[in-house]
Amino acid sequence: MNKNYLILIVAVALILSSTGGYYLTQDGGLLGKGNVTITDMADRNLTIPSPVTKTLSTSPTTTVLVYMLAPDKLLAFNYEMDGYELEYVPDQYRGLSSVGGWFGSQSGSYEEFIAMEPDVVFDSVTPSNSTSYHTSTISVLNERQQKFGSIPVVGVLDTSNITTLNPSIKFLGTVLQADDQATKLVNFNDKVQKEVKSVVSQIPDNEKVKVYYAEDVDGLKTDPAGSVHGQLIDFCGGKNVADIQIKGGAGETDVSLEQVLKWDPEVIITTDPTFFKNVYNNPDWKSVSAVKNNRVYLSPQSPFKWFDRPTGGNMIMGIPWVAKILYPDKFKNMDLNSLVKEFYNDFYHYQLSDDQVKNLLRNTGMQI
Amino acid sequence: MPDGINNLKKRLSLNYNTRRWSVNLILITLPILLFFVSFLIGRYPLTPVEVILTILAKVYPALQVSPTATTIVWDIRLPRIVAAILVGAALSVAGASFQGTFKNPLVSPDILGVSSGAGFGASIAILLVGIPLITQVSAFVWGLIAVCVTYALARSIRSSEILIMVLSGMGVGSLFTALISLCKYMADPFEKLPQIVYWLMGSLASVNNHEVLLASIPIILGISFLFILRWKLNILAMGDEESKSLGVDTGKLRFIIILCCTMITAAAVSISGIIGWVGLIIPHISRMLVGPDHKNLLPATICLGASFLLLIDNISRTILITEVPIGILTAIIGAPFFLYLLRRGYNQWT
Repeated sequence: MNKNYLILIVAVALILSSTGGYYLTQDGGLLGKGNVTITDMADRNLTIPSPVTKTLSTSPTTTVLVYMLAPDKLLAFNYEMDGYELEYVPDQYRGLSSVGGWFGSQSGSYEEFIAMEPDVVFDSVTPSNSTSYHTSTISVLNERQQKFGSIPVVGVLDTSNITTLNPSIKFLGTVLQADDQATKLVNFNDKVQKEVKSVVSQIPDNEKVKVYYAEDVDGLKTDPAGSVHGQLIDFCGGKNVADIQIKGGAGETDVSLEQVLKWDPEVIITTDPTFFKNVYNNPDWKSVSAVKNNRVYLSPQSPFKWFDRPTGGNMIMGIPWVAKILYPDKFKNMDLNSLVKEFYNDFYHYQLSDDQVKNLLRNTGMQI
Repeated sequence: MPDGINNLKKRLSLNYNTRRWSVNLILITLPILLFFVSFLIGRYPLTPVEVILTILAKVYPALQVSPTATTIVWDIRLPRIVAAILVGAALSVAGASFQGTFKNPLVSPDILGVSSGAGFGASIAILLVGIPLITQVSAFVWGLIAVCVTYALARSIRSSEILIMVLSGMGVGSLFTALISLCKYMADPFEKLPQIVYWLMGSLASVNNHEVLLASIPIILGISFLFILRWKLNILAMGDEESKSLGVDTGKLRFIIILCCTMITAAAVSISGIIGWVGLIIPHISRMLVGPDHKNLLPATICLGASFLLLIDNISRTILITEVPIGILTAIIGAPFFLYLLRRGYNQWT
């Protein structure tokens, strides 16, 4: 879903509820809270309350991980969850509001964050080898720290890349005192990555499936190989047909239908339910191989999309799914259903029945 | 009571002095009033009493206030309020001075390429260094460089003709805009590019006291100079022929005014990014209130510009849970007004 759309939804929701700013009522903190000194992932020494019970993050990627590791310690999401996204959110977390944040092209409100009285604020910092880069990150962190005053701003290495995600998971586990949960998630991540990698690394380039990532309602926006948004295609041995420049920020480069027809992808993956609903009835698309062979797939939406947006720990679940839709024969023996069940139970705090799992996968366009 | 109001109404419509006096009073009190009210506005629920106590606590340390309230008032609200006042006043004064200098009511402060230059300076600094302070200084310096190039070009054509100056400005402006695009193209798409795009969008969301203090020096200096020179603007607005016959060196005067305007605009852009429309519409509203005489016009634009941007910024930081980029709001309010001006065929001033 594109960011503007999100902002629009947020705006409409706010106007409808016409609440001039709402804030959670807190029950008094735990008695005898101590403090502990930690070093965050940007090498800053911070004193944080112990235990940490109330947290916010400046962007969705970190928020998703907190929701997976310690949902009771999350005060708010960064955007309003819509109907699709709430489907598999357990009742106790449905009421979580949105606090906004600094991501894509939007800027959060410090006062909004402070009003929720978090113990700590997690801030995503981008890993990079260039030194100047690190300075910039540190300076942004310090700037935020100044505005947040006495609330510690904890730098967490950016979680937008599934292959470099594990240290951030472990770090968050430590801060949130959810080490076991973090270990579980790291193990799950390693398990599915290894299983997929061992197979797809054997596939020669000329046998790789041609994939197009269709974004937006008309499917005419995309992100190329090498972009964080299409990383699952790269990882799972697909060949992303979009030979375009990586576009920064929110990504989403416009492409023309003619271009898509020329690329003629064998598989289309989309995150947009509207596009998925219409693509098979749209005469414009009928000559695309993927449409002809019924190989258009829709990423599940709830609680977070499996494929992209946010680009965080939620994409771990997308690894086996993308692998199986790209190479159904090679992954015949991979039990995707039980993986989904395990992931939802352990990390999304939602128990799915076998039928629900089947349904969920069927709705993605898989022939089960 | 209604009698009193009717009486006042009558006096306002008939008596020029009463009207001028009340307009002046409103113009002077508006920014002062808004300044204090703005401290009470924000998404964090602080009561007026808490705010006042927090401010007093700076003077009387004995007062007990929460550190959170201190952060909100001193580190979040104060820099934004001061920045809005400075930027609003700077852009409006520069707009009014340029409109007079170029004898064209549709001129905005970035007519000579200062905004594009500053935008390029910021982009290249974000690209290469990324430290906010460097970005600010670089924006300021490149804004000055852009106008110097424009001015030198126009002079080299050996003409102080306004048209040549404006055309050079357009050329230099688009050159720097292209350079901005080049920076965007080369920027790392995950971290640097959003920063550049966000900076260009125009916002006061990330200013801090330090930056505001730094930018206030050229802004206050430039505005003071223009304020002193304000009656000479009338001479320029009359046209080159007339002013030459009065023995005024128009070239030199124009240079000084351009220098001041550039300095304050570049400093304003360096903390706020590119905020459109303010410099164009505020001088017009001021003219409606106090007439075209620069002696009154400049003080009016200072008060009105500061108030306008402060009001807009208050809206931008409170209306939604996220910040609404201020450039969007000024344009939403500014553009319809501009179109309204076009319809009216604005020709009552020379």
